[in-house]
Amino acid sequence: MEDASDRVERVRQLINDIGLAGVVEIVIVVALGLVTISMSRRVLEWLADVVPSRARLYVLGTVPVLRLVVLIATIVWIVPIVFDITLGNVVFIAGGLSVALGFAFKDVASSVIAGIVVLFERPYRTGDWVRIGEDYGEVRHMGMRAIKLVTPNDDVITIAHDRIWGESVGSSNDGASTLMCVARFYACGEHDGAHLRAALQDVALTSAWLNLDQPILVIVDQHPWGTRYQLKAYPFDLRHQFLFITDLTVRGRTVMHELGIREAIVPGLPESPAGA
Amino acid sequence: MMPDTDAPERLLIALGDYRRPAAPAHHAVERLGDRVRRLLGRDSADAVQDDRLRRERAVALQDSIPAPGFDGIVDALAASLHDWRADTSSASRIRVLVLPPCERQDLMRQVAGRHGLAVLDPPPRHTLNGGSRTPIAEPGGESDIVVVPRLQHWFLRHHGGLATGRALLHRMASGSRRWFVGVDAWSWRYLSRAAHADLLLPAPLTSPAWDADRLAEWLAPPGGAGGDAPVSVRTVKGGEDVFARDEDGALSHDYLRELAARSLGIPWVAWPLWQRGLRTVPDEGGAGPDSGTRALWVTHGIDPVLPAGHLTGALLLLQSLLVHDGLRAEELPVTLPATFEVEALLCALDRAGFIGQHVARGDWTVLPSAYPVVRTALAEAGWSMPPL
Repeated sequence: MEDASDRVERVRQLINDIGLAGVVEIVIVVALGLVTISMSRRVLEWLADVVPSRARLYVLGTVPVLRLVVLIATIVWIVPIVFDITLGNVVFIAGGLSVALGFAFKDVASSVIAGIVVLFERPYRTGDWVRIGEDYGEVRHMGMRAIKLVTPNDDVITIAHDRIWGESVGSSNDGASTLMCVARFYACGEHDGAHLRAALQDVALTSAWLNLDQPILVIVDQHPWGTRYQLKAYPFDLRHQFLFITDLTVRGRTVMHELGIREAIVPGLPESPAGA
Repeated sequence: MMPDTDAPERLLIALGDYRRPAAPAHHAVERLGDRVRRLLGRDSADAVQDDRLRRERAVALQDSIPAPGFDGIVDALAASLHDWRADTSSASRIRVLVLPPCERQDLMRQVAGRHGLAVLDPPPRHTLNGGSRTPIAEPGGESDIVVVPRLQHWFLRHHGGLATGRALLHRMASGSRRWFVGVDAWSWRYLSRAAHADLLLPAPLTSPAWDADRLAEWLAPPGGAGGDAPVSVRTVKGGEDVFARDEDGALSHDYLRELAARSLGIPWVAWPLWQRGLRTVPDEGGAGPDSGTRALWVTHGIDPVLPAGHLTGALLLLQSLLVHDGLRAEELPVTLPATFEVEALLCALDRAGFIGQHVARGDWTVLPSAYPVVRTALAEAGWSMPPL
């Protein structure tokens, strides 16, 4: 059985005699890695704004991948400097690491591992509009541990990757450059539903934001308080989704007014989740 | 020298078969380099870069190269119409011709005039937005074919502005009369979606793209008559004659291939791009290497630049002008979201060389010379593109 002196001796064998040169090399490598990650993120995010719209999400998607590659390269460079890499030492490290992770850093490790899984499974990507729990917004930044979600109200929400283990993630565009937008109208009283439906279809067809390659749907359903019309269409760029919904809503209400159709007003109706 | 209108390759093709001329590989690299340089200098650019354009226009030569006629194109369309007219089967009761954007020569009306056909003109645009159908005054008389020169002028992109255009399409599809319909490519794309034009009317035809050889035939300066010296046109960079051919008969220099690619194969786009690139040596009028030859110089002109910081609004406005083939200032706000300052954008785009206003009609249209830049910008912003 090992005593304390054996363990100390074992740790001494594990770690190389680094010296000043080794420390300097480690500092330089870490600094280079951080600068590379930071610069590449800025350049790629700038590039995403100037390339054609269809390439934007592909460019943004390379940011977390590049960061992972640089991180792995940095670790691979540094580890041999610090540790004497032998099979026995690797087993020794792994044993100690598992104890540390198990108790102190399990959540962080879980998020980091989930972040790597996300890169392959892609439940969300940079530039996607996603719903995670109660939060809906654009994935602006994908870090190693968490993402930054920017909501329609311009709030920035940080969400750890490990949420994907236990919650569903809803993506409105799943990497595409457009997404479905829904404008809702509520009518009450007697009215010609078919006429209103056709008129709302024309409202979408005549919107300057419309993506002509995607379908337009008007879904009608009946409620005790009246009739709900959901006008579903796609903008040519998902960044204009709220302006598109606004345009549809304003002009749709104008059409209802022109047709003499009364809007249903139901106090206490639950508000739809943002973006839903 | 007029193009040979009897050659089969000159006649109409299916819209889906239209292929734009490809640019030489080095030209694509140069354009990418220009693009990157412009992107890197974007922060310091003014909202509208018009000073440099005015200098270029002052130098551009207008008088030594006379404007080529479009009679050859009219001849080709008239010949095609003649053949179709002789075919009286019901399957070919309607012929649709999709024309590239920015056509200002009234080609369809010229064709109608040559054949003595009746023309159905659109009602004033401001009457289209009432929500109800404007009566369609179909011409009577003996004319067996009715020509609709510009189908794009029969609608307004507003929920109340589609009824008349739809009614016309249904009338054409369901009646027994023969129709020869001209429509702009952007408008055809829109009407196919908004009014099922692609279902009501037969598959459209179009004119093939103009490649470098065809442009050379069309743009070549006159050989000179009497005491006039022939004119040669040479590149500014290397002094090569852009119309010279090698022993195989192919054009020796790539300038006209680049022009064909930049103009997207559209002759009325190529003409102003060609004009914009013409230069003269200020002192002597350009003495060429051969005695008795007067040299003009040509380069690729500078493309206009969209207003910085107002890109989305500018593109929305330009796209609306393309879909409608021109709109008056008071008609534009009806077709655009309410948040944009239409008048300010019109001023900026006019100064930048993207749009022009028809003196008599008062409608604003995209200038042919700016169309390639506008099309590229719209494609990059995510808009759906027509084939032309």
